[in-house]
Amino acid sequence: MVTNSNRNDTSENLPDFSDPEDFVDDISNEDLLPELMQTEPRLDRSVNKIIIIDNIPKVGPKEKKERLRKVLNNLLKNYGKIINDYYPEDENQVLKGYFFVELEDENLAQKAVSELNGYHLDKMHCFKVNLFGDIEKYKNLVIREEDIGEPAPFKNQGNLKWWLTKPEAYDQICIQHGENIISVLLNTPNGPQTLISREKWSETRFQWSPKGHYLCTFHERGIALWAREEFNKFERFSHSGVQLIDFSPCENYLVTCNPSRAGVDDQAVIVWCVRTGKKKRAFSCDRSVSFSWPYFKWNFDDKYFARLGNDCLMVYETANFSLVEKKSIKIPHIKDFEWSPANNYISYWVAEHNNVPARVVLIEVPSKTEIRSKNLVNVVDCKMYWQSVGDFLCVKVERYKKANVVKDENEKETLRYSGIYYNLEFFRIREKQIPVDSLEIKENCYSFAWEPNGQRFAIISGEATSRTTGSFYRVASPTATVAGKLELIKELKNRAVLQISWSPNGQHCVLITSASKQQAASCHAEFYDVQSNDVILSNKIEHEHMTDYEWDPTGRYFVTYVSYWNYRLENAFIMWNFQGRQLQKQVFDKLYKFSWRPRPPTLLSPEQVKEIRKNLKQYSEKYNALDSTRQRIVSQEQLEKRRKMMAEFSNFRRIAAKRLAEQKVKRLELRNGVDVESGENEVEEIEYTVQFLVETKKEEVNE
Amino acid sequence: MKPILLQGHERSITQIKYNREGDLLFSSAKDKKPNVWFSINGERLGTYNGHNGAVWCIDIDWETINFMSGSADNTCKIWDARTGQVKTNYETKNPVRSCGFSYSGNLAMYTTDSTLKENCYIIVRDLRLSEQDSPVHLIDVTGMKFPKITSSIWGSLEDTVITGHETGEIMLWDFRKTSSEPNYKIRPHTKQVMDLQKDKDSTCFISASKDFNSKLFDLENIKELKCFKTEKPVNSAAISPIRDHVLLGGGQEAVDAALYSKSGKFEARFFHLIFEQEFAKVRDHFGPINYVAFHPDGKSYSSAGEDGFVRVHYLDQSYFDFDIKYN
Repeated sequence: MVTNSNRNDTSENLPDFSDPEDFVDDISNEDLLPELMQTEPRLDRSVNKIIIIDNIPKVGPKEKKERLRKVLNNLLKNYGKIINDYYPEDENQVLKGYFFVELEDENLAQKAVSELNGYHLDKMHCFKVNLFGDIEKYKNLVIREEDIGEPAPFKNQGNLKWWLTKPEAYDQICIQHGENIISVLLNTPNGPQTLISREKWSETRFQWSPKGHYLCTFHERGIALWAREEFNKFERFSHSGVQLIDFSPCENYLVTCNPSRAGVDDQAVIVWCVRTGKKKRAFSCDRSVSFSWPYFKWNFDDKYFARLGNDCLMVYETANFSLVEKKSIKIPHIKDFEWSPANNYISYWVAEHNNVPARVVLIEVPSKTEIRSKNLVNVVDCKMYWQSVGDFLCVKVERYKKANVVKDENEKETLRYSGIYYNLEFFRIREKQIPVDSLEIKENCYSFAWEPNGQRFAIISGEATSRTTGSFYRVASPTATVAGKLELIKELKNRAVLQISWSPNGQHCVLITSASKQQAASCHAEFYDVQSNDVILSNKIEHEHMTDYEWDPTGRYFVTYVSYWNYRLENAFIMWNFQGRQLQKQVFDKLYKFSWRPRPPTLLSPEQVKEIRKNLKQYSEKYNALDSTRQRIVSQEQLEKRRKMMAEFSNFRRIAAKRLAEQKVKRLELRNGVDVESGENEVEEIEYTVQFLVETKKEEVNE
Repeated sequence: MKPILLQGHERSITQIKYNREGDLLFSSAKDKKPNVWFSINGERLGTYNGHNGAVWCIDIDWETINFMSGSADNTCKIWDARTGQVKTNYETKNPVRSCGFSYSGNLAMYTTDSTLKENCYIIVRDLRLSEQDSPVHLIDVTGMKFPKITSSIWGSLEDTVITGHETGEIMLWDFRKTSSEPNYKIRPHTKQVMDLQKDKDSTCFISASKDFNSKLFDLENIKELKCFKTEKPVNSAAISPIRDHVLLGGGQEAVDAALYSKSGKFEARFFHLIFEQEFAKVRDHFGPINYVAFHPDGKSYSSAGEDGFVRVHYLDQSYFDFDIKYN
């Protein structure tokens, strides 16, 4: 207090700042100076910066430990400075197989946990990473009886295969027509019967799932699946602005895509579980590679899905929806890949680069072992076609004779190819060491298609679209003495066909001029019966303005139709049998889309199928009898209907006749008593001569 | 059998009509001169010269004395059918779209287009009165807020008129009624009614519309009786005088046709009148068919197209042998 009194001496007017004698300080420093107190040094007791990494190699020798520590530190360098680490050892100075690391930042520690968990240090050691704090948390976790709760009640999914269990087993057709009406029709022998029809069922279009269990409709908010006999809602997948969808082959997963959000956020592509409706993983669309749909290509049993990355192949597994072994497969200059439809094989090709030839490679997944590869030179492009059961792979190689570097106006160098020709490389997957045959095509190759489940294939080639050649080949199996080879079955010259459509059962094949989106001068299709050593034309048909075509799943019917999306008039579908005989034509006021309901593969064993084929005669007798009875009933019904229409119209005619009779007097009066109906009082007929031109002849007269 | 081709017009044909006996066939086109032909051999008998615009409609009375034509030059003319002299010239304020003689041939009915300035009218004139006399009936259609008339026929006798409209309506107007409102008003079509034609006895009539349909109605009360569905616009429909058949002609509009179609693919289609089933088609025109008409004997028909040709078809024996079974 002495000092205070001293100051008072210098300035008489200053108040006294000192606390009174009885003052009690009841305001804490924190309240008074919160900013300052924040920076007060404190002892950090948080354990959230410490992580435990489990499953490291249990090594003993000192130098090995040092080396391991170096490797591990290197791994952790992405997560900030290492404050402290500790490697517990057992009594023999051997590592216990886990260690503790303290990092400088909590967020980085979190990141390390999520990224390093599951990391494969080598084949034997897969990391298990946890926060140290979590150990404490889980230790104290008490699972109480009431927390477990009741198991979710069993939800009956209904019969998703109901349409196959009907005695008639009519195939179903879904069409979109009129003012956005979607109808499901039954393809009965007496023409289509409407099963269900809903207006505005979908906001844009519809799609069947690959095995036909679900009907998908598109909405602004997402995708809806409809199933069961009543076509009631099965599941909803909300993904706003969805435009593209793709099912995995076994229908376990659904991929939805909103292309407008590609690269914008991480919800551009979403993979869903179809059965539970749960979101499995969302992806932001990778913009480093050109976008193409489907974004992911699935393997045959839904275990893996993959996509092309920038110089890499990204293979994900559905077990945990992350990259297989947490990393993508580095393949510089990879251009495209395809899954085998029957094995976990991936075929891919890499482009030529710096005088290294292009390569087509076959690898096994997930081992990544290369099974077969082939080098190719002078390659422009490759297209890979797997046969439907994965026995063969055909690679259509577009090759050039000359490549010139051309500079465009921006001084950008591009390659211009000349002397384009094609090579088809056939990989015989099931044979030892996978032999490869090639077939050279000197002209333009327009289409290639394998016969489903078969060993044959069709090619359409030619110099111009108006003059093409359709060729049918067979891949002959090797015998004890002769190696397998390609055999030409038949060549069909001078066609105008461009597209190939095999029946799903093989043997029958339709070649189509071009069901293009543009109008074609004449759109025709040729039906062929492909036999073991001949190809026979069954029929040639024409459907004006045809825009689309589709085989039914059983290979009995072929449908051509005119879609309103491409041509606004004459919207109709025509159903042909597999030989090209017209069965029926249905005209619609706007027909947008026609789609057969797919059928899942048969549950019968190959032996049972064989048995049925053997006894086909008995079956056909039975079904023919059924058909003819049905036909009789129909013609009866038809006649009955016509009789009724006739009776109704006769009734109208009677009334009209009565009316006419009543008006007769008035009519006569109006025409001055001339009865035009009976010809009475008619004016005398006038006679005149008429000349007919019979022939014109040109003759030269000589003077 | 090969059709007889009548090449006399320079532009697309708008209407063709047989006289009651069927020996003559009258035709009008977007050029200015209606023609008359012998239906038996296709020889041209003469032309009616005097219009100064496209001729939209024609009619011939029951005695083949008077011939009537309505044109875009804002006149409706009554001609001496034999000499080709104009007898009466009715001036209108708008193009004349449709016309017709009454049962007796004494009354002439015609309708005019509506434009921004002028209304669409139904006008009935008595030929026995002079040109300057006011019309017997005058109905202001636009004034009643109805869409423009695109085709019309006389109803039963001389008392009613049936009109087809631009947006698919069909109305029946009864002159015996004092009120000017139509007696019946329906909208059987969603698009323009292109043509109305009566059957031989005037008991029913058939409509043709751009909405791809053609329909049959009771002439007395315009009750819908039948519907014939196609997948192209129907420009004209006719009822066979001897068989239970109807004939439809049409095709996509000229603009679309030029873009999409190849030549020779425009067809006239035969439907069964009662069972509404299509059973035959004749493809030969190079453009949409604008008008079809049956010969009064039912053994031949003519079709007229956007291509400017009239084709007279004599039907084959197989046509007469054909029948749809119903008992």
